[in-house]
Amino acid sequence: MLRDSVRAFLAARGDRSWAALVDRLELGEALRDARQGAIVAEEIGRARAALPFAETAVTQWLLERCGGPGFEAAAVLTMAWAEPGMRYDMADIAMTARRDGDGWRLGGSKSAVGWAPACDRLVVAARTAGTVGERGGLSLFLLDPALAPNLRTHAHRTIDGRPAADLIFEDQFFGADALIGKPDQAIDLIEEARDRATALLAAEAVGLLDSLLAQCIAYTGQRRQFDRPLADFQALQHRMVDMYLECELARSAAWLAVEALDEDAATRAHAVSSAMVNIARGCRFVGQQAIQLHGGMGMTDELPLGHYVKRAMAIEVEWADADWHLARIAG
Amino acid sequence: MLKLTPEEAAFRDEVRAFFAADYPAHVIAKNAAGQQLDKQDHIDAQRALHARGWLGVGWPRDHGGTGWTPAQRYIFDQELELANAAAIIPMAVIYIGPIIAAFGSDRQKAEWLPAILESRAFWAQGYSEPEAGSDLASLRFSAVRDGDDYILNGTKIWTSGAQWADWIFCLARTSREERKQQGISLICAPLDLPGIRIHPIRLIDGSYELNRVEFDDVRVPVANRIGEEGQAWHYANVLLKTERLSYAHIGAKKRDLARLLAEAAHMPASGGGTMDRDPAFRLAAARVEAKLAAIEASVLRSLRTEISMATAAALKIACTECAQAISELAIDLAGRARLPMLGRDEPDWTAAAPAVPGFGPLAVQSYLFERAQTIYGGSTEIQKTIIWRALAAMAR
Repeated sequence: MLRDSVRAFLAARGDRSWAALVDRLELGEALRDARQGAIVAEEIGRARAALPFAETAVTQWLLERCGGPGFEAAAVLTMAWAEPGMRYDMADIAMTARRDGDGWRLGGSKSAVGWAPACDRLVVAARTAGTVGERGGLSLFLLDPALAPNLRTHAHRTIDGRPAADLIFEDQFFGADALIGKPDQAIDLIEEARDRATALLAAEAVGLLDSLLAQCIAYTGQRRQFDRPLADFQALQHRMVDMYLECELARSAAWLAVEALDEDAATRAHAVSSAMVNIARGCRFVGQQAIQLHGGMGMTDELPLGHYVKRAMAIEVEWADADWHLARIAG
Repeated sequence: MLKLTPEEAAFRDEVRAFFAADYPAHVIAKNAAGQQLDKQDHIDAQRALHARGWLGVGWPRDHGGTGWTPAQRYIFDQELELANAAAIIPMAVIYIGPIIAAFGSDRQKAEWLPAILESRAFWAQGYSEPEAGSDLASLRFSAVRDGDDYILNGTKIWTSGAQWADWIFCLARTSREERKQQGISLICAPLDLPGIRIHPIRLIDGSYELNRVEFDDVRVPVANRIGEEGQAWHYANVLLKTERLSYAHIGAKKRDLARLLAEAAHMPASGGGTMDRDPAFRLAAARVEAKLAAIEASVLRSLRTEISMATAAALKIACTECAQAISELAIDLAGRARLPMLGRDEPDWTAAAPAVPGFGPLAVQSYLFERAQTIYGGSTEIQKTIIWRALAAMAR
């Protein structure tokens, strides 16, 4: 039901924006429930729609866990954690939030924050205590970027065609109500948020990879060289079968991640990382082969293909890369 | 056998000194900063090479070429790449120049060759067509004789640099023969003729490097044909033999690998420290380094001995896949820094994402662009078919 209606909406011509999607479909439940969310994410991947679904879902989840204010589904929400001085360990967050009277002053930089230029509210992870590398001392702040004159927003597009921005906070003041959840103790929540976002990205990758394979099968079936369709060559048939094997594993991996989200932290971490290692390998292999099988056409921006490949490349690293996940499994 | 002779080593030092002292510094600076080069940069670069007599790298000496041995040519390519100098745009200098010198008429040699060396004329290559890619011999672009002219019709695609070029050399069908490799002629046309339209193709890395060029009843004199009618396939294969190492780019690989190792020292690792100390990254880099060492040895080996078609094809696969592996290592190192897609026309192009190291956007665009290496110049699949034919012939 949900799958069909999302697929129909994304296949139709016309307004495919977040506002239109939320307006047409009842997405509130899918934003809260990861199993339903995974269905929506997979269809978003299949259509390669640029929608802030995972960002909004995970930020909504954070707000709920922190007892923050609720927002209607149409609000675009995103979360800023990555910084120029860190890679993927949340304990390395360095941005500072220091008390100033009743409120807070935020200073530091956040890198390539997806949907930041288009969001209604932003959740920012910052250090209220401790030193870089310490797990303690992180807190979350809910901000309206439009009301922050000392926040410099360097908007750009990411490889997957989405709006993003580098955010530079120059001692920007926020009121006391900006702080959400318990101060100094946000790291467990931030890490769980990452796992939840990763599970949705894994589901999105399933749709993306399925579609890439379908595009290759269609193209090699129709493209003729040496007086026959390319798909007649066994070397290429087996290549597409190898892509299919990755698609199958990706689907299982996404389930693995989604179903582990409500387990204890260690079980969840192991499952999500195992999933993402497989998803990342699938994204890399299927993406590269999809271009190769399309020849010169695979290099052009005119075909949807390259946009799928670039979204898959973003999914590989958005919240953590395969090496980070491998290290987490290895312990 | 893999070492340079004393003479070759002296030549290497001479080339190295030239790029350090007598080559436009602004071109090197732009390249090193990841900024895109424009046509004027290439003209400046070519003029510096020509002033030294080093532009006609694959040309015979009596046409202004260098007359270098394959080893000298290789040393020069490597030093050019290591110096961050502009890659010589191959269409005129590397591809058509030697063919004109070998098979062109006296008039073609007198007019076209000096114009190339003096950077008065840039050329584009009209080989692939929408329906003739890997199966190039099935091309349909037609040249029909009309008195002293040919009338050209058809579409060429993946034409790199057509937006800059003054001339295009085309594989054109002049007759239908039993073998599709026959009946193809090599015909040249100025790109500003009526009936020629150039459509830029935007690539996945955001560049407009390639074009589609349409010919609609374009009239050129028969004197624009190079060599005999119907012999173009033969000429193209002669060129292939002399240009077997043009995909090697060992210098560029060493340079790119060294650059990303240097970048690693500035990239934060998870849990503190920098990526140059990250065990997973170090092993991944070492794996590529070991591969590159073997490939360099393959190239040096091929300089000293006559190599077979199969060896040349194997080398093309190894060299292009190694370049891709380096670009893959680069996006892996970049991590989230691969996310921003930035234009690189201006010197301050990194300012659009100040909290992301410029290495990231550069790495991702290079990764995307390098995907083409295993597609053009005979795809990896085509090379494997060539190798298999050789292996099967050995068994017979």
